Amino acid sequence: MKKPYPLLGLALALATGALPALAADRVRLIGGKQSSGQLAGMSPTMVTLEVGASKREFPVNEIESVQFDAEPNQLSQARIAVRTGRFDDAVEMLGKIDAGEVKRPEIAKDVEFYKALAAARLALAGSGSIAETGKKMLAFERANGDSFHYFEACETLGDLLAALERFSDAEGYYGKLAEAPWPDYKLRARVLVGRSLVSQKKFDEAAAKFDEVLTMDASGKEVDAQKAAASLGKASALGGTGKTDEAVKLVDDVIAKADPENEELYARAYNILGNCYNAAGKNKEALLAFLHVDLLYPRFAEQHAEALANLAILWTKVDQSERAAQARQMLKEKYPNSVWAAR
Amino acid sequence: MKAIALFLLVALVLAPDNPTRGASAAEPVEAFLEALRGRRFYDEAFDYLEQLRASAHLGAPFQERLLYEQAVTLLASASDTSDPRVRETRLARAAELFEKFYASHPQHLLAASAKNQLAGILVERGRNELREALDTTKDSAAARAREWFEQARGQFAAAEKDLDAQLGTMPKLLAPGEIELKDQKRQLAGDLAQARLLRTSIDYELAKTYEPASAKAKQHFTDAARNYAALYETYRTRAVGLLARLWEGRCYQELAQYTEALGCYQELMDLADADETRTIKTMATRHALECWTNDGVKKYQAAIERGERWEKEAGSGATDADALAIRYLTALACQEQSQSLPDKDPNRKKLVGVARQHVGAVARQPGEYQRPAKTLLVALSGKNAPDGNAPPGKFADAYEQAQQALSRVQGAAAALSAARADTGKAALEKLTKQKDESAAQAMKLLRLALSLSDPKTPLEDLNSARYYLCYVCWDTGNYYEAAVLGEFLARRYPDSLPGRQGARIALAAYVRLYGASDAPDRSFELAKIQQIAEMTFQRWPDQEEAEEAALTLVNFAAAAGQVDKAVGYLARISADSPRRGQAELRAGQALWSSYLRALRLPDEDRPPPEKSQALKQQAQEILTQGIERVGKSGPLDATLASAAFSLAQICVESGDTAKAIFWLEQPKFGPLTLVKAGHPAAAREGFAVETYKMALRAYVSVSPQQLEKAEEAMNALEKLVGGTGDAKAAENLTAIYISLGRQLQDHLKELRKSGNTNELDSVSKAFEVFLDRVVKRDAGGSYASLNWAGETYYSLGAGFDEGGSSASPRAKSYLQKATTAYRRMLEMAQKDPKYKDQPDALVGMRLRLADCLMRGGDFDEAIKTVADVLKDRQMLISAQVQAAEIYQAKGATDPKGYELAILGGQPKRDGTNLIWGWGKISKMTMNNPKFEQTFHQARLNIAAARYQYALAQKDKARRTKVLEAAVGDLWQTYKLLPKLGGPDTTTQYDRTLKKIQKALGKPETGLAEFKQRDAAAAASK
Repeated sequence: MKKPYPLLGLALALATGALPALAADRVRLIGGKQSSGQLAGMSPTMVTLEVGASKREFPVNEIESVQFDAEPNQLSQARIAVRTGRFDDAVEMLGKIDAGEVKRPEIAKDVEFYKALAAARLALAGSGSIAETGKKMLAFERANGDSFHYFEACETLGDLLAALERFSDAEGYYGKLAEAPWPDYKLRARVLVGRSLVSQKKFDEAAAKFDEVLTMDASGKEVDAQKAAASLGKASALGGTGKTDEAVKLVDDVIAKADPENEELYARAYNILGNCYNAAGKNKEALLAFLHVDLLYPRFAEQHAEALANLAILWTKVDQSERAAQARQMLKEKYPNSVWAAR
Repeated sequence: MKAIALFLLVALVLAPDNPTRGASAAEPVEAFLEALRGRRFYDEAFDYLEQLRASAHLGAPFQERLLYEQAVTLLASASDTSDPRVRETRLARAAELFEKFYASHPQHLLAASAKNQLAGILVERGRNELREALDTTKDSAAARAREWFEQARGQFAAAEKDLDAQLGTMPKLLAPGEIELKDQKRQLAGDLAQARLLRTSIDYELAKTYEPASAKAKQHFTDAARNYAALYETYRTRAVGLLARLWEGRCYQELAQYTEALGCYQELMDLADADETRTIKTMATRHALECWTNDGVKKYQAAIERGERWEKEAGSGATDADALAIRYLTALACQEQSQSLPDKDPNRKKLVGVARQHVGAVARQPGEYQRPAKTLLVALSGKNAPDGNAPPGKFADAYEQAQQALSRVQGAAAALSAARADTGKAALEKLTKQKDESAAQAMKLLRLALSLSDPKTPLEDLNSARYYLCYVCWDTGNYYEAAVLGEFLARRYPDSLPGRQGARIALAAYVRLYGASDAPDRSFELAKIQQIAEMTFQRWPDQEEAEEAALTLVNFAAAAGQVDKAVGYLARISADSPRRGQAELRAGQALWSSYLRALRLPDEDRPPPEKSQALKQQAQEILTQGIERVGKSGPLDATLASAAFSLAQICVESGDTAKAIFWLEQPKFGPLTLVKAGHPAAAREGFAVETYKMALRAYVSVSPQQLEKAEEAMNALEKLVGGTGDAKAAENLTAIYISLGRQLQDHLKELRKSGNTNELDSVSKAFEVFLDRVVKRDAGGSYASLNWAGETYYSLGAGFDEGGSSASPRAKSYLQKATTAYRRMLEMAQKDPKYKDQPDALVGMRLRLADCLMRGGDFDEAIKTVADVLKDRQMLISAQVQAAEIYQAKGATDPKGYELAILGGQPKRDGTNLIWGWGKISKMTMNNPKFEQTFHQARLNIAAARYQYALAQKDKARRTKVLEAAVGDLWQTYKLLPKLGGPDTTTQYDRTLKKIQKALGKPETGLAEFKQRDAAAAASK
C-alpha cells in the first residue's frame, strides 16, 4: 500500500509536464512573480522560456532579473547587490567567479554585463575611471546587440558619456533607448536627454524636453515614475533660469507625492531642491536640502557626492568651516574620482 | 510587548471556545477582522469595526460584541508599539471599551472574559511602570507597579467569585441536546480557569518588583510556586494546568531551586507530541536548558540531548524566541562539554561542529540571543575577536557597533552626572573625553549604517538608527543634522516613537539654531520653529510634545511682543500641565510689556483706555495664575522673579500698593527678598536697582506710608549705585533718579488722564511727605538727597503739567522746589573739588535746572542757564536742542520765540548765534547716522514752529504765507529723504503736515499730497 503513491505522483507530473528538475532558468518579474523553464531565446525586448512543451515570452520592461540554471552563487548575489545599489559588493562577488567554470555563454555574458554595470555606477559616483569602465560597457554593447541587457547598457553608456561631457554622443545612446517599444523607456530616454541639456545649461530646451514627458498621454507605475523624474528635471531647468520659486514648488510637489520606497527619487529631488535654493541665495534652506541626502540617502553614491560637494560650500556660508572641511574630506575619501570631488 | 502577547496567548489558548465563530453576518466579518489583526493592521481593523457599527447588515450577535472586539484590537495594537506613551494610551482606551462592553452586556458570554482582560490591563500597566523606570526612579516605579498588581489581584479575585457563582447556578449535568447551555458552561469554566491562573501570576509579578535575591522577592516567588502547584493539581489535564506547571517551574528557577524547576519542566517536556502540546513543550525545553547550562548546575550532556531531541521533534523551521534560545543554549552546552574533554578527544571537535551548526542560525536572526550567538561563534572558530578597527560592511554590524558606542556614551554621561559634585577636574575631563569620543564613534557608525542600508533593511531598525543619529547629533551640537533627521522621522513616521521624539528634537534644534545665530535676520529659524510646532499640534494634539511646542511658541511670541499669539498658544497648554505655569509667566510678561509700550505712545496712537485697562487686567490675571503655579513647585529662577516683579509693578500702577508690597516681599520668590538674599534668580543686571525703585515707590505710596522701609530702600539703592562715591557714581545715581522720576511722572500722567484725581493727589502728597523727610533728615541736604528731591519734584511738576501754555499752580510749586534743589546742588558741586576736574558732570545738572525753569515758565532764566553751558560747549547738540525747545516754548507767550527757535539767538561777536535754533541743528546733524533722530526732530520742529507762528499772525495773507513755508519745509525734507527716517518719524511728519493743511483750509491728506506731487512730476517727465 505504501508504494503506489510515488508512482501516482510521477504519473501526474508527466501528465502535466511539470518537471521541476528540468526547469531551472528563472525569470523574476517586477512585482515578484516568477517563471521557471529553459532559456529559449533573448533579444533586447524579449526573453523566451521553454516551459514544458510551450514557450513563454517575457517583455524586458517587465523583467526584474533572469537567473540561470547552474550559475555561480556569486552572480546571484551580485545581481541583488546591483539592484540594491551595493555596487562595491557586486564587484567583489563578481571578482570571485572563476571564468573557467562558467560553461553557459549566457552566464558569461551576464557576468560581463554586471561587471561593466557595477564598475560604471561606481565610476559615475567617483570610484574608478569613467573612461575605462566606458570601454568595458561599450565592448559589451557592441558584442551583445541581442542581449536583454542591451537598453540598460545603452543608458549606462549615455550616462558615462554625459559625465565625460560628450553630450552629443550621450544623447545618441539615449536615442537608442527611445527606440524601445515601451512608453516608459521612451519617456526615460527623454528625461535623460533633458538632464544632458541641463548639464549643458540649455535650460529652455531642457524644459521643453521635460514638458514632452509631462504632457505625454500614458499612465502606469513606471510612466508615473518617469513623469516624477521629468518634474524634477524641469525644476532644475527652471532653477537654472532663475525661476527658483516655481522650481521649488515643483520639487516640493514631487516630494509630497513620491512613493516612500523610491528613495533614489528623494535623493535626486533634495539635491535639485538644494540647487534651487542655492540659486535663490537661500543658504540655510539649501543646506537642509543637501543634508537630507547626506543623512538619509547616502547609499545613492552619485547623489551623495553632489550633496557633499554642495555642503562643503554651504557650511562655510553659515560660518561652520570645520563642518565644511569634514564634508570635503568625506567627499574625497568616498568618491575620490567623482566630478564633484574635482570641482 | 512580549508580556501582552503572552497574556493574549493565555486568553486565546484557554478560552474553551471562541464565540466569534458562532456569529453570523452577511459578510465574512470575523475572517476579515482576524486577517487585519493577523497582519498587524490594527488601525484598519479598528476603523473597520467603526464602519460595522453603522452597518445595517451586521447580525445582532456581532453588533453586541463590537465594543469587545474594538477593545481586543486596541489591546493587540498596544503590544505592537514601542512607544510607552502610546502603549499606555491604547491600554487606557482598551480598558475603557472593555468596561463599556461589560456595563452594557453583563450577561454576555464574553463578559467574564472582558473582566479578566481589564485586570490583565492593570498587570500590563504595572509592567510598563517597571519597564520605563530609570535607575533614579526605580523605587517609586516599583511601588506604583505593586499598586497596579494588587488592584489586578483584586479584580481577578472578584471575577473568579462571580464566575464561580454563575457556574453554581447551572445544572451539574446537561442533556445532550442542550448545546447552547453546554457552550455557556464551557465558556464560564474556561474564564474561571483563566482568572485563577492570572490571579496566581500576581505574586510572580510582585516578586519581580523587588531586588532578585531579597527576602520579599523570595517570599512572593515561594507563594506563587505554591499557588501554581495547587492550580496544577486542580487542572492537571487541561491547558491551564500545564501552564501553571510551567510557571511553577519558573518560580523555582528564580529561587535557584533547579532540581524542583527541572522536575516541572521534565514533566512538560515528556508530554505526548501533538499540535496542542508543542508550544508548551518548547517553552519547557527552553527553561530546562537554562537550568542545565546554569553555572550552578552544569549538566551539559542533559542539555545537549534534550536540545537535539527538541530540534528533531519540533525544531524544523521554528524561528521564534524560544526556538532561538534553545539552539543557542544547546550550542553553549556543546561548547562547555567540549572544553571539559581532553584536547585530543575526537568528540571535542565533533561537539564544536555541532555547536557551530546550532548557533549559526541564531547569529543570523535579530533578537535577544543574536549578540551572544555571534560571540560564541567567534569563540568556537578559535580565532581572536574580529578586528575592532575594521569598518563594518553591513548595516546590521554597523548598527550593532553603534549601539555599543551609544551604551558607552550613556555610561560616561551617567558617570559624569554622578561625579560632578565630588570628582576632581582630571577625572571629569577624562569622562568628558570618553563621552565625546564615544559619541563621535557612534555618529560615524550610525552614518555608516545608514549608507549600508538597503530596501531589505528592517524599517524599525533603520528608523531606530536614524533616531539615534538624530539624538547624537543633537547631543553633540550638530543641530542642523538633528533638525533634518528629526523632522524627517516626524513627518514620515508620525505614529512611531522615533517620529514623535524626532519632532521634539527638531524643534529644540531649531530653537538652539535661533539662539546661536547672531545674524540680523533669523526668520528662517523662526519659520522652521513655527512649522514644526504646528505639525506637532496637528499630529500629537493630546501629547506633552504639543504642550512643549506651545510653550516654545509662547516664548517666541512673547519675545516678539505678539500678545494675541502668546495668549493663543497659551490656550493650547492644559491647565493641569506642568508647563502651564511657565507659559503663563511668559505670556503675562508679554501682555504687561505691551501695556507699558502702549503707555509710552503719543496720545493719538494710544489704544483706548478700556483696551489698555483690559490688557493690564489680563496681564495681572495670567501672571497671578502663573506665579501661583510655578511658585508652589516650579524652579526658583529669573523668570519667576521677573514675573513677581511685573506683578508688583502692575499693582503699583493700579494703586494697589499694599498688594505690590506683598509680592515684593513674598518670602520665597519676592523680588525684594531675593535681592536682599543675593539669590541667583535676582542676579540679572539692573534687577536689583529696579526692585529697590519699585519698593521705594510702593512704600512711599502705600497707606499708611512705610517711610522707614522707603528710606531703607533708598539707602540700599544709593549704596548699590553710588557706592564708589565718585562723580561717575553720582551720574549713575542721577540717571536712576531720573528714571524713577519718569516712572512716577508717567504714573501721575496716567492718573490725570484717566481723571483719577484722588489717587493723583494721594500719590503726589505721599511723595511730598517723603521728600520733606529725606531733605530734613540731611539737615541742609546731602548731594544725593537733593538729587533725589530735585528729580522727584521735577517729576511731580511734570506729572501735573497739563501741556498748556503755562504750568498749573500745583505744577509750578513742585517745579519751584525742584529748581531750588538743583540750584543748591550746583552750588555744592561748584565747591566740591571732585567736580573741579570734571566740569562735564555739572552740565547735566545745569540742563536739568534749565528744564525746570522752562517748565515753570521762566524762559529767560532757562535760556540764560543753557547759554552758560553753550558758552563752553557750543557743539553740545543736546544743549542746542534744549535751547531751541525753550525758545519754542516761549513762543506760546511771545511769538518771537518761534522765530528764535528756528533761527537761533544770542549773537556772538563774530555775528553768529550762540544758540543755533532748529535750522542750524538740522544742518549740523544731516547725514550723520548718530544724530538721525535729532535731524528729524529739528526738521519737524521747524515746521511746527512756523505753524505755531502762523497761527499767531493776525494777517491772513501773512499767515497763509508762513503756513505754506511750513509745508515747504516738510516738502524739502521729503524730497531729500523720502523714507523720512522710518515709520515712527513718518507718522509724525504726516501728522504735522495734516495740521498745516487743515490750517490752510486744504484737505488733510498728509504725506499723500507729496506722493501725488511726485507722481505728477514723474508723469510730466
